Amino acid sequence: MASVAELKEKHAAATASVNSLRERLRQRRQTLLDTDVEKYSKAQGRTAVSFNPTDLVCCRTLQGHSGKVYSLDWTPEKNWIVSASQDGRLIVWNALTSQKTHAIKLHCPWVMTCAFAPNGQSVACGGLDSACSIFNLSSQADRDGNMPVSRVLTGHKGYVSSCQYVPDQETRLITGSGDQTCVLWDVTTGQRISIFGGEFPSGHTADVLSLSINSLNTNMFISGSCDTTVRLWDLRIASRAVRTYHGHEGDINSVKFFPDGQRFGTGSDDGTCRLFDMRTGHQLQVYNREPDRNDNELPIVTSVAFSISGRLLFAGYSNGDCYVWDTLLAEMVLNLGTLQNSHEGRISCLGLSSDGSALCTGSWDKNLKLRGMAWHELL
Amino acid sequence: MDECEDLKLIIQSNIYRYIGILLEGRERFEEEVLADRRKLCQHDPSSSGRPESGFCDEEVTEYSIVPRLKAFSDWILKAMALGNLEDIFPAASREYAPLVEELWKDPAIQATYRRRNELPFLPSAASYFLDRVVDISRTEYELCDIDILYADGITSSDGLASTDISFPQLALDLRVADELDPQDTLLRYQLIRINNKGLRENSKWLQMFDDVSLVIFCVAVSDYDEYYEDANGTVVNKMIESKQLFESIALHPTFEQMNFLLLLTKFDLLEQKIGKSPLTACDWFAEFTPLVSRNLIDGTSRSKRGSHNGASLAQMAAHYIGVKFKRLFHSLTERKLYVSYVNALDQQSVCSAIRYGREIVKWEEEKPVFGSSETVYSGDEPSSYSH
Repeated sequence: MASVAELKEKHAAATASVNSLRERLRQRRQTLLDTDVEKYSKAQGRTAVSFNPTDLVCCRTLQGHSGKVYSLDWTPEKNWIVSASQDGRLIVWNALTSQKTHAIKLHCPWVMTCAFAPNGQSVACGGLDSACSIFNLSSQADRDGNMPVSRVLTGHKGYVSSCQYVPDQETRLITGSGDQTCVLWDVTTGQRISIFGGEFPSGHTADVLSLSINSLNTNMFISGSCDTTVRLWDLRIASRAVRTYHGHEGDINSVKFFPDGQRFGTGSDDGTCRLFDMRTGHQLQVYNREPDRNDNELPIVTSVAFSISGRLLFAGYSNGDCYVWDTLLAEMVLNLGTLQNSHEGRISCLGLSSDGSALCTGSWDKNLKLRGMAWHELL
Repeated sequence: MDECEDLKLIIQSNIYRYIGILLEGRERFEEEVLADRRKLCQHDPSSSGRPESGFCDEEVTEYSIVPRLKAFSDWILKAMALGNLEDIFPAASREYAPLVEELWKDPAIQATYRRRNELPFLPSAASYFLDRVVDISRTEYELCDIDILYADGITSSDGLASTDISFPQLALDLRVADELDPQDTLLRYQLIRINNKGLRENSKWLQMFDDVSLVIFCVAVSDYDEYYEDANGTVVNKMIESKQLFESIALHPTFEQMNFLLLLTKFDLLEQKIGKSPLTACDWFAEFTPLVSRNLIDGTSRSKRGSHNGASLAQMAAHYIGVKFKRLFHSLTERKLYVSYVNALDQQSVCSAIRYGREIVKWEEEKPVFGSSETVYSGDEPSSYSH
């Protein structure tokens, strides 16, 4: 019967050997990767995207929240946006007219995520109440003028940080949680269909902060976590992660699949965005900011999204910057945060409309802002 | 009303948990006594001629109970071992309440209870509920405020709870009366309660609270010699656990310039046991060496000679705990920790603690105007000041 001290020693030794194996893996990968996306593109003679001042349709501000905006999501078809805020409300906006079509008062004001159902008829949200609440937008308000919850998905043992409906399936939804697991839910019964991580090995070892479902192969999704890794999951096989992606040096706040479903982008507390190849696990590119002239701490990346073709990577930062990266050349071609009428606080979330014609950003300054992309067909 | 029913159920099923802990303890103490006896008999096999010749065969100890009660006890202990105590008892609690009462009043259990400092998992409020087990187990049982205050396991471990508070004009506290202006009554404060369960690992969500005005950290001073079993089955000292949690929050980047108020609670429980259970039971307080006169037997000061400003041992202990936290906070943040003592069962005490919290918030807001001179704002106790 080993003593506690012996066990601790063994544990430390095992950790050290795992770390050294990881380091060897990393070095091996580096020798296999003869170049990254940027160097390759430049070698091919590609030049960065450039913008004319007229390319950006002027910005519209969606005002209405009285607290920080934490999350937003577009409908897949109509141009509606749902946003969640610290004021304890979900607001549904018509992006074309800036009108608010619904304002839903939440039971728990500490909401961290929201999502639109594929048919645009329901919204889901979750937060510090450790549950995911679903509202049917066509339900009647009750006596106090509040919209009733149509279902509450309970079971997580920690806060719900992210949620997304499985595309084309109103009845299935995936949540990511502070309890280190992701869960696939059946919305109609409220039951958990599968749990990814937790007691099963190869799960995340810290809070899950973000997830993204592959739109070209909806059986696959990725989750980003405070354990600095991204994990790829197959909905049909909950028992273990398909692959784990290392590279980031800080909590991963946001993950998003690349439009072709073969790669994905990430944003992290380490101030960088990265592009990974899904199949091989290689880190294809790092998007590093220039260090601040005043040598302040590097702002962290809170949210990422790709343009329709993937040529552009949008990244929101904690200091209000919103970089538009040329994905191929790893150059920042525009900082929306320096334009007129930009956010005055941290960008907490952003997303592109389904046709790629508009970018919506949400911020701790309580507003959402819409910018149209005239050139979206090209990019 | 649903909430009320839930609370009743929690309280009723808690009682079975308490009696279960006592029954386990009883069995343990009984076995210890019997084992000691057997050892004695082994050393002296020739027991003939001795007055207590039947001693070695005797299985009765002061911890023994009659077979009927033993059967009931076995049943409860088995349910506890299987982990379904909570499932069985709320439904059957009415029927078994008289049995539980009989057990509770049995001298064997009372003897076990007297050694409750050896039963680390028994909450101090257990006797409050066990005394009234029959009453509480009735269906018509009506919850009163004190019951809720004493009960444990009430607030859910997931999620948060919050309440809005304001300070009405009719403040009876004369010390603050002259500072009240009409604006005050319009200000509403929100008190947010965070359960500590997931705090250390899941600290990312604390970011959502970066704009609070004050962090209030509650520590029960009576925790110094109490333990609990964590998720891995390790036995942890509650005070050390509090200290670690306090450290991680004080160091959390979200609360970098935040004011902290430490509320030390359950002084009355500390007072009851400090005589028997020294503060040094907790490693962190290993250097506690109060100057006490030999007259101090049960912790209360009978003479001023040798004691610190006439303070009792309990007061010195509680003060020492506050000082340890203050030093810890200063070493981590270079800032001052506000400390106050609260009796959570006394509404007045809670009110003045919250008022103190509000004063700290106001001082912080007024700093740009009045400067942060320590001489004006320093002091551990809420005190009046004029400007």
